[in-house]
Amino acid sequence: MMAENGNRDEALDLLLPWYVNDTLGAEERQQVEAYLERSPHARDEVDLLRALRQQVKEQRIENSPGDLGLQRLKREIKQDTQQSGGSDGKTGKVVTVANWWRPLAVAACLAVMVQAAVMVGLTGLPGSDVTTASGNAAVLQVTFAPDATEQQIRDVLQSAGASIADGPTALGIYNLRLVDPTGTTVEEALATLRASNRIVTFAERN
Amino acid sequence: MTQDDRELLNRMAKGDQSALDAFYRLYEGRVYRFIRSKLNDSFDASDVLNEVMFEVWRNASRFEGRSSVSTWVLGIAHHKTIDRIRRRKPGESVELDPEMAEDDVPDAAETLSAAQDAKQVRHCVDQLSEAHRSVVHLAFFEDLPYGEIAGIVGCPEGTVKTRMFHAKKALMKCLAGLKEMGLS
Repeated sequence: MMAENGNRDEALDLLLPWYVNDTLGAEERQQVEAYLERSPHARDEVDLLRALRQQVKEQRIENSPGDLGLQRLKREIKQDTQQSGGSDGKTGKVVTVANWWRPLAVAACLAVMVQAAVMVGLTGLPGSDVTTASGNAAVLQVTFAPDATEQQIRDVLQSAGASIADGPTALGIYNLRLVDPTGTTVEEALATLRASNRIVTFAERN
Repeated sequence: MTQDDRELLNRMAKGDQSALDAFYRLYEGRVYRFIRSKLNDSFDASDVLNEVMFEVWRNASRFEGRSSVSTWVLGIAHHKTIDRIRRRKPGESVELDPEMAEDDVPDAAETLSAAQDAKQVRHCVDQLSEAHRSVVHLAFFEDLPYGEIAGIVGCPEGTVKTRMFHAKKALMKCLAGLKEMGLS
């Protein structure tokens, strides 16, 4: 596997990803640079690895839990301290941290689903006046930073073309609807909300 | 930064919750993203992040400084995530996929255009095993040296290099397949 084969050196091929992320030591870096000088195969590999690295770096995921997660952690540390009679939660006692979170999350989701079902039921009745003027449904879920002001939240929602449909849930989640679904897509609103990550700590499709 | 990390851990070891706040804000994004690269579920990832930070709080005094703080924290995250995967899928291996047949792996130049398409790369990275995804994330998102990655995932440096090598081959095959189907 490590033998040189034509213009390929499999031992040096193994180092190329770390040449690309610029973390090789001086000696290995020099070996790779000499390899790149003599091997078109190595140069192609480096081009490919650079493209892959750039895409991995640019991949977007939803926001992390942020302050919501910190509050949860502190609640559990406090709970652990109280249960153990310790002073700072450093008891070594293993806590199944997910236990309270799951039922709460499920309950919150169920509450939204029940509410949605009720809304659907009501809007389906002849002559019902529950339908919103635009008839649009809650399509996004967000949480806001604890220190976000009403003015900041208002500005973010207006720039995203969204308004609060209901919430907060027990987990601090708000459901949003689009003010004008014909003028703003869900993706556009989501991108705007996520770009305001100092105000909006979590944003996902409903 | 390293001195700051260690100072925060020292204060956390003495029960200083303001140090926990600072530590959490410093590491939460990185740790969550690492966990999320291995778990395709944001609720699970949030749970594991919480478990990691809880363990860091409880064991801050046990940090011996033999690695960087980030290596230590990401190592905890790695093991917690594997525990979660095992609990979710009992009996399923989370080690390397069986080595794939590597004949017909396309040339790097042939797959370069597909590798420049974010959606295709995302799709193909998602097809990798957990072990391969970890190494790709740590090498290309975190930009860590292979020695540090070995410390995080708990395997020899040579294994890290070969995992990356096989991950790259798998990505190339996947990207070439999408290209053949006219999807890139």
